[in-house]
Amino acid sequence: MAEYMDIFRRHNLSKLASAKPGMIEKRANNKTKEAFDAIENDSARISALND
Amino acid sequence: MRLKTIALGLALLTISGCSLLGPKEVEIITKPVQIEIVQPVLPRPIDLKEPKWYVVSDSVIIENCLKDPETKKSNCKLGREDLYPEGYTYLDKFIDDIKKNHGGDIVFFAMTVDDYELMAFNTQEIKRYINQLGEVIVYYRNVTINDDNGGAVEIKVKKDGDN
Repeated sequence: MAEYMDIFRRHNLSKLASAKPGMIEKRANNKTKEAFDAIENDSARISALND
Repeated sequence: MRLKTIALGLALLTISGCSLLGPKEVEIITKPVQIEIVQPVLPRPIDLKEPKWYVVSDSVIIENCLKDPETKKSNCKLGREDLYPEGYTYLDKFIDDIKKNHGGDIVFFAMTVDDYELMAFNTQEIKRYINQLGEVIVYYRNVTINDDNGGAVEIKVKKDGDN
């Protein structure tokens, strides 16, 4: 998960979003899905202890 | 006289608490007692819905290259799609889309780039917390479960310092 924050350190998001909003929009949506899926998987693993 | 003797004997026994019969040894034994700890039902997994992010700037939209009908691949030599008017920006497109979705009204929630980064940070924090809490749950489950198979319960957690 730390890699997500690393992206902000390595890139100037304002500049990129200003120049290529289409590209950043796609990546922001993909990465949001990726992060939410990871959270869902973590919680599913804990819930699986019920079984 | 006989009655007196019996009464005296009974009184002596009552007062002495049978100590005249000699002390009785008490044996103290320490024995582990198995306590049945009921494992709580863990909550159902998180079900998250993804919002759609719109990234908007005043950059002009560069239209996609036309596709070659034979190869089905984009070929810029064939020209570009003509979906938007000349000089149409991402901001124009966003405003038009919003108007279309809200009956002509312009209404939306906006976020700066810095706040977007904050949201990403918050998501990371929530993930870290869930992971660490999961480790604690697994630990307590493993030390309190009586089931032989219980000790085998494990969850995978990245140990890269931040998680």
